[in-house]
Amino acid sequence: MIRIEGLTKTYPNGKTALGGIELALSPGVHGLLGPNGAGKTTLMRILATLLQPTRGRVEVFGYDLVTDKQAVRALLGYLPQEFGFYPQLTAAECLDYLAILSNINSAQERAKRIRCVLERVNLWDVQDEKVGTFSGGMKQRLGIAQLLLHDPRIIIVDEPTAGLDPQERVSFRRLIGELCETQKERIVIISTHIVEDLTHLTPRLAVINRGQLLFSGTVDELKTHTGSDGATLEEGYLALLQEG
Amino acid sequence: MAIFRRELKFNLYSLWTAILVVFSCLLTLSGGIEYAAREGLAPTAMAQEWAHRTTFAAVGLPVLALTVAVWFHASRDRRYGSASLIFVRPVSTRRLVAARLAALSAGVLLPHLAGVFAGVLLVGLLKGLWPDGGLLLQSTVLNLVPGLTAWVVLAYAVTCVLPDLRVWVFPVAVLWLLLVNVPATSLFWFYRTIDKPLFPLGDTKVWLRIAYAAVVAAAACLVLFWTAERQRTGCALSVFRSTRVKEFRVLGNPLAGRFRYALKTTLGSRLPVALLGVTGLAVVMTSPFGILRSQPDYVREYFSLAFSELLFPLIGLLVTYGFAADRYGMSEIIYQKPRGEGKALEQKLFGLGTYLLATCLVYSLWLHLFQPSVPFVQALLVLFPSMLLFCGLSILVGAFCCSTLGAYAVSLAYWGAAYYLQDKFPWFLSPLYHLAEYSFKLQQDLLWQNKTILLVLGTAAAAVGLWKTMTRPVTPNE
Repeated sequence: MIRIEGLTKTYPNGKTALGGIELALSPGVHGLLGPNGAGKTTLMRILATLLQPTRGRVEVFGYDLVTDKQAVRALLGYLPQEFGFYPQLTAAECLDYLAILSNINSAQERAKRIRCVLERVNLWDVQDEKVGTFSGGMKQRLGIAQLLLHDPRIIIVDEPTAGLDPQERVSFRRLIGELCETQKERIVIISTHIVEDLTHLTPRLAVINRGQLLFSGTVDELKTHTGSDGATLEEGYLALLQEG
Repeated sequence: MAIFRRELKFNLYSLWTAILVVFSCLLTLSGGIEYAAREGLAPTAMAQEWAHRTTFAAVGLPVLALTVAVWFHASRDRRYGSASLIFVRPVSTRRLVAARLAALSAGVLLPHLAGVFAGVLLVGLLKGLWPDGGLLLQSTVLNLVPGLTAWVVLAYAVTCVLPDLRVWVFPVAVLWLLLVNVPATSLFWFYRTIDKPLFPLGDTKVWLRIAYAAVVAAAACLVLFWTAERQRTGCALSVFRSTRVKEFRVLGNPLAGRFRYALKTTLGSRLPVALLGVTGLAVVMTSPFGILRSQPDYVREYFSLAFSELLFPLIGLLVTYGFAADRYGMSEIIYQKPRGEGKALEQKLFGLGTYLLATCLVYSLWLHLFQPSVPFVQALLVLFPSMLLFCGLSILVGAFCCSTLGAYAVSLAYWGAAYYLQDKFPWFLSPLYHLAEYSFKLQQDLLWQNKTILLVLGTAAAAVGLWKTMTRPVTPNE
């Protein structure tokens, strides 16, 4: 369970990226929707322990995000919006290095997990190829593979489907679904501005804009914001933004 | 011819044409004014020497600008993404490369030579010093043109094989030092190194050097054709890639794995290249086959240390610059791991320490073996602080300004300041301590004081740079 209470982030230039967010996330897939510059990435980075909040409290499975940072890190897998890999390493070497950094010390265990995650994202055939030769979609899949290495209880992915082709998007959605089926206690948070991704992925979502939480509830509840029956999620989302 | 004309037009319609003309002109002018101020020389002798010195001025610093211009013109395809448009032309690769090479050579040599001759003209008009016409013609045709052409072809070939500026600088610097700046193997002759300075046309050494320049140019041409052919057929550099599928295995010991990957991700192939360069330089400088073999011991000691202090910190600056900048966008993924910041710092420190120690140890060892009068520890202690300072500076620059140009600017500013301030502040001489001849002869006692200061400053610079890098993702300034 993740509890976010009064979370505020103000940058030194005076810009408030998050203004008192209150949110509770239970196991399952959660979508975080918002236009560009809404504060999604700031929230994701705070949850990933990469950014200190100005005020407020975040509790992750009983741990305080600020004071028990290392314990929280052991629980989560994070895929940033913009990332890269060392181009001189092969896919398997990259994962081996990150597995070592995730404190998976047993060589046998590492080998097993690397093979498992590479097969899961369909990169096993290119495990010995240098990452520098990978396409954007392959790198994205490798990014997903690295966050699964230590079987995290919380998965945070920031704009994961950007740069993926339609087939890879479908595979990604299927993979996220499987992740929650294999571990019922797992919390997956997906930040995106592509509404279509969430319609297939999650019944629960939150919408933020200009650092404020506009909505937290189910997809069906968001659709009702248009006031008309048979509205799409996209229409509901746009209506909410106009209201906000 | 159409390709040649169009490429030449592109190359000449560039800011680099003006830069080359002005730079070459100014440096020739400055050399001429300095030489004209000398007293006690007969006018004929001055005219003869100035004819030789003209070409000497032309192959000094202006060649660096010329080399950068070569890279700039040659990397146009990559910058504008126009390579595929050019390669689809219905011309054989050989003719295409020949046309482009000729256009590039003409595009950089014409402005350069125009600048040199403008400088000569200005010296004549301002100071009344005119070169001996016959000698100027001979030194230009027999020395300047073949030497510079070979260098341009070589730089172009390196640019085509290694288009990335950061990778390109190192081999070009090594080639420059080995082929051009080392007098015994110079592409360019200077009047003191030939037997008949008043009649170069009849000098065997001059013709041998022309042959040497031709061999270098021909070898570079072959590399150029090969690279272009491979790029054109879409299999560039694939010969280096093994087609055999490697067996999948992970590293057994996690600690050893952490260090091995740290080395691979920070230094990678740059470490063997740097060590090979260090070894090569030691062999060239001090081995029984080296260029200093016939020099007295004190000259060999002086040059072997001085040269290492000149070259290695500069290379170190380029190698370690990337330690601070998150070039591959991996920092967030690593920092997010348990105690990730510490592990990232460990990775950078391990890379830096390995680079510094390996380079200094290998060079000191070679130096001691070839030149037993130089103690191993002394060589190590002379080299290490200078390299640490430059590596520290580059990390600092990388942490604060995140621009490759910043690293070069700091390097040049430091060297310039150190050169001009060494009279006023002898305790803070440049890392090129030994290069200042008077320091070598008169102020040997200041060496260790200077080195201690460099060691402290280098450590501080590296520490501040790495601290800044490590705290960046969680700083409130984010």
